This record gives sequence, structure tokens and C-alpha cells, in this order.
Amino acid sequence: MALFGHKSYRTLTELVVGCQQGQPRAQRAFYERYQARMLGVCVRYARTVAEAEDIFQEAFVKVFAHIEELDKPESADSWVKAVVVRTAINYYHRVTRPQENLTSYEALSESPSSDDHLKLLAGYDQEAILGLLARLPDAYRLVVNLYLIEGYTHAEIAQLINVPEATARSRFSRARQLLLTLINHHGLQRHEFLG
Amino acid sequence: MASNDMNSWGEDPDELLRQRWQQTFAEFEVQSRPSVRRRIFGQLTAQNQPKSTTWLVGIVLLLLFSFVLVYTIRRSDRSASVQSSSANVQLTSPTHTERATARRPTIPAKHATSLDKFETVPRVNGILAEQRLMNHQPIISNTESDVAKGQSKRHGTPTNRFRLRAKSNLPLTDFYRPGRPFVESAPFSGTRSPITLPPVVGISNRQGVADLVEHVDKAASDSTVENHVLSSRPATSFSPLIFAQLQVRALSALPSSIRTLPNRLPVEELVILSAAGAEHPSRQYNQWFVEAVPLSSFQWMSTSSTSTAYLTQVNAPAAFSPATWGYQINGGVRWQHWQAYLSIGQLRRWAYYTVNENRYRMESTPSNSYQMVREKHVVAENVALSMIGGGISQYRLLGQGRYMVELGSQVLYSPTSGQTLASLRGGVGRRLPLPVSQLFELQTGLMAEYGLTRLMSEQQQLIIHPIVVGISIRVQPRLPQRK
Repeated sequence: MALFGHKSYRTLTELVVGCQQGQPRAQRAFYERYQARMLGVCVRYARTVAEAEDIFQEAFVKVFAHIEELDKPESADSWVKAVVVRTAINYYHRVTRPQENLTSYEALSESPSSDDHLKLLAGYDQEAILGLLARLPDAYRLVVNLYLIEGYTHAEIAQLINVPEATARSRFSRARQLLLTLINHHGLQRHEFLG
Repeated sequence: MASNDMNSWGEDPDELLRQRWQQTFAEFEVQSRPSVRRRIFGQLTAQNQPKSTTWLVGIVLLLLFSFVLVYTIRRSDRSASVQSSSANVQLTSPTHTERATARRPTIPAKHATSLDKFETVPRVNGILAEQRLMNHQPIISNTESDVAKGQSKRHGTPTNRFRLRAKSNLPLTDFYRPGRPFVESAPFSGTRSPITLPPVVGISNRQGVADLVEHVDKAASDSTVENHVLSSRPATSFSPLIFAQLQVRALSALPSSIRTLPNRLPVEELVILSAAGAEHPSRQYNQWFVEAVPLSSFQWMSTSSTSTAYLTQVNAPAAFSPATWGYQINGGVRWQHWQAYLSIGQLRRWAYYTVNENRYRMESTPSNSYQMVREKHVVAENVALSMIGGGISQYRLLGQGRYMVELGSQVLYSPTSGQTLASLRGGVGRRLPLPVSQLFELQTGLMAEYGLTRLMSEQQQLIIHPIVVGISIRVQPRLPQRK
């Protein structure tokens, strides 16, 4: 069957078992199954594509190294994504945070509502939103990813990135404000460029 | 995934926002480049490969270690056996001394040698097996009175031959005392049983060897001298012995009547003298060693000529910090002044730098203006490269054997990165006795390696020129102190 690129692996379970047995063919099929989606996840967390590829590579090596520990092969989708997200968080702690330019956004006094946010986002496509995300400071981008896209709670995020929950919550709040500011600027930018 | 954040705010105010973002990125995919795929599967292969490589190297080292261990034990056993035999030897009276003395020609005094030290030639399945110089106790010695007299006497006449018998009731074995007139003994009776004390002849120097060969050649050409005996006189000094193995060619030229002396072993079996590697005892070592080297890496770095990026902020970890640590385990053998070894270990390769790419983006500033910002990203590599390989070096003992210096080269291969590192290696070490064993000694010292080839950083941006320093800790069989 073409489901996993080779007829030998008809189900996800068979594919995972093949990987657990170290079969190169299974590993290639497994990689092909997840590569595009997971690199997309990495791009959301990274500052550049090169950085995303580094995270992606590290995550997949981990996936293959620890796939033997996956007890429920049918849950491989969420497991792989969790590995990728955690690798991105580790990368942030290890590489990004030490170099982070701690820009102060205290001056941002606006506190727009989610409705405003939604209205502003309405005209934006995926690429534009990704552009906004990339322009966020690293710590904010991480929180926005975890909270808005992955669906973690503030408490879970606090645990994942090893900060107090209040810090995680305030980071998201500031990130949302900054996003609106960027959207406003971006809109102006687009307007000016179009004009 | 987690549920919505239901907290004191009541209904999640961000739920709609969340849905919008999730919808936006639900199908978001980015196709990976083939190079990324190659890197991942290359790394997977490399991770699997070291296991088999480690096993292979381990097995080779184990075999090597077993070989030298067996060799060492056998050598020790031989030494002990010979010494034991020596202790059991009974010196019996010579027979027919006077008659034999009258009949046999004497050997020129220039073929003198010492009997203080011997090289024994055990006969194993009819093949002469050379046993190395036992530079300690003589295998056979006369009694103190004999030594004092310099010869054995019977009926007041000196003779060169003794009849030896082991306490195990082995048949009598004739023994020549070189430098003394040959005398004929009673017929050799019995089968050629295992020779407890093989007949030996020792020669004290190279000249003696040459003389001996000349003498044999002369005897071979002179058919009238049928019972010529190889002999030499006792040494007058205790200088280090030199043993030379007579060429079989020379011996085979002897008439059979000479080669097989009456009632004795053939000459080829009687005499074997080795000159190989006899200049100095230190050149005779065939020994093994095992060495552990905790090491620290340093790097000189330069940019690749093919690099299109502008690199800034190139940093390095602090000297001797854990980020630079590695190790090397070597096992090998020594032969004369050379040593060859196999090596397995781990080296650190790092590269911390910022890549300023040739891409720019527009960024707004608080003053509502825009500025061009060059895109850049930071690279922080610090990888442990598993290395396997080997090397060869020459060593010298200095300071009366207390110190050892070595200089050589080695080649290491990293299966992880596929890179090869050739380097010069030098070191100096201090030999110390190992308190727990009389057989082995410890050698500790400093070691340095200078990379002749270059390594590349993972993103091929930097050329890395490694220099490694370490502390070597080596265990080896005890070497004699050089004088």
C-alpha cells in the first residue's frame, strides 16, 4: 500500500514496529510520513529556517533513538509532535535564550481584546501570520506557539519552560499586545507599500 | 493536548483566538530539503556504526592483550622452568678426561666466551626454538669450587665437559664448557628425551660470533678435523652478553661427521647464537602497554574559502573546561624502540559563531521609520566525536630509564562525521613502580597531539585545526632500568 510509501507497512502500528526493529525501510517511510508537518512545527518555533532545520534534525534523531520506548504505536502522531515541541523548547533554553536580546516592551500600554486581535488577523494569510510570529521576541514566540497553537495551558507552559505560571501568563499577554502592534505596523506597511 | 485554560477568568477569552491560530497552522507543512534528510540518516547510521566499530576494536584489543599476556606468561614460565631445572642439576664427574684430552684438538683461545649467561635452545618437536636471553642467573654453573678453579677436574686434569643429570632421572646429558678441550663421554644412551638443560654455547661479543663462524667454516673445509668442537673460553668480565645465531647455511656445510658429533646432538642443535637485537637489552623488548589519556582540545579556526556567510562572534569555551574534555584509550605493543597502538576515544569539536547571512529584512522602529536589518543566526556546536584509529611512534628511555619520551604520528577516524584526523603525537612520561604488582609498572606523563589535517564544523563554515593535550596513564610490563 502506498499509505506509508511501502506495501510492507499497512498500518501505523506496523510502521512503528518496523522502526523499533531498526529497519531502515521503515525509518525512511516514517520520516516521509512526518517530515513536512514536523518541519512546519519547527519553523514556527525557530528564528530562521536554518535554525528550524537544526531543531528538526535533532528531533528526528531523538525520535528514532527513543522509538523503542513508544508503547502505543497508534499514538505515534502525538508522540512525534511532542518530541519535536520539546526539542524546540530545549533548543530555546540551550541556544536561543542565552543570546536573546531582552528588549523591553513595557512601553506597550495598549491592551487590546481578543476580538480586536481576531479582526486584525482576519485579512492575514498563513504566511503573513508566520511572519508576525517570527518577529516576536523568542520568549514570546515560544509562549504563543505553546498556548495558541499547541493548546497548552499556562500552567503546563510554566512547567515546560520552567518559569512561574504568572510569568508564563504575563508573557503571553505581552506577546498578544506586541502581535497587535506588529499587525498595526504591518498593515500600515502593507498599505504604504501598496500605495 | 491540554484543555483550555479554565481559570479565574471563567470562560477562556482566548478560545476564538486560539481556534484561529490553530486553523491557520493546522495544515502547515514545510518540505525538508534532501540535505536535511541525508544529515539525519547519516547521523543515524553513524550512531549505529560506533557500536559495531567499538566491538571490532574491542575484540582486536582483547586479542592483542591476550596475545601479549600469553606471551608474557610463557616467557615467565620458561624462565622459571629453566631456573628450576638449574636448581635440580647435579654436576657429575667427567669421564675419560685424560684420554679425550689427548685425542681432541683444542679450540683457539680467541673463541672465548662467558658462561655466566646463556641463551638456551630448547628443542621442540625437532625444531630449534630460540629462547631469548635470560639476562639474570646462569642456567648452569659449576660449583663454587669449580668456578674458583675455572674448570672441572678429575684426576687432577681440567676438562670442558660435565655430565648433568636432572633429579627427575632423565638420561644423562652432555654439556660442553666452551673454551676447554673436548673430551668424549660414555656413549649417549637412551632416547632423546626432553632436554632439561639444552646444550648451549655463549659468546661474549660480536667478534666472538664472527670468529666462531669463521672457525666453523674452516672446520667444514678441513676434512681432517673431524671432531672440531665449537667452544670458547670463559669470559673474563661480566659485560652484557651478545649471542649470535649461527647461520644454518654455515653449519650445514659441515661434514655430517662433524655436524653429528659422536654420541651427541647434531651441531645445529647444539649451537644457536643470536646476534639479532643484541646491541642493548632495551632493544629486545617485545612488550605491550595499555594507556588511558584524559585530554583537552584546543582549536585554531579559520573560515572556509567557500563560505558565503559573514561570520562574527566566533567564541571558544574556556581552556580545560568540561566542554573541551575528551579521552583516548590506546593499547599496543613495543618492538625495539618502536611502539604501535590501536586507539579509541572521543574528541570534542566546537564552533560558536554568528552567521550573518546575505539576506535583509525591513523592520519598523519606534519612530515609525524603517530600517534594513541583516538576518543572522547563531550557531553553537559542541559535539563529541567518537574516534578510532591507531598510530606508531618511537620512544627513548632517558635518565637511566626513569623517563620515556616518544614522538610519532597517528590517524584517527570519526565515524560520526566521516572525517579523518592525522596528527603528530609526542609525549614524555615518568616510569613508576606499580605498588600492587612486581610484574607491571606505571607510566604517567604529558601528551600532546598536533593536527596535521583539518576538521570542518558541522555547517562547513569553519575550518578547525585541533591541538590536543592530555595526561597519559599507562600500564606496561616492568622494564629494566637502563644504565
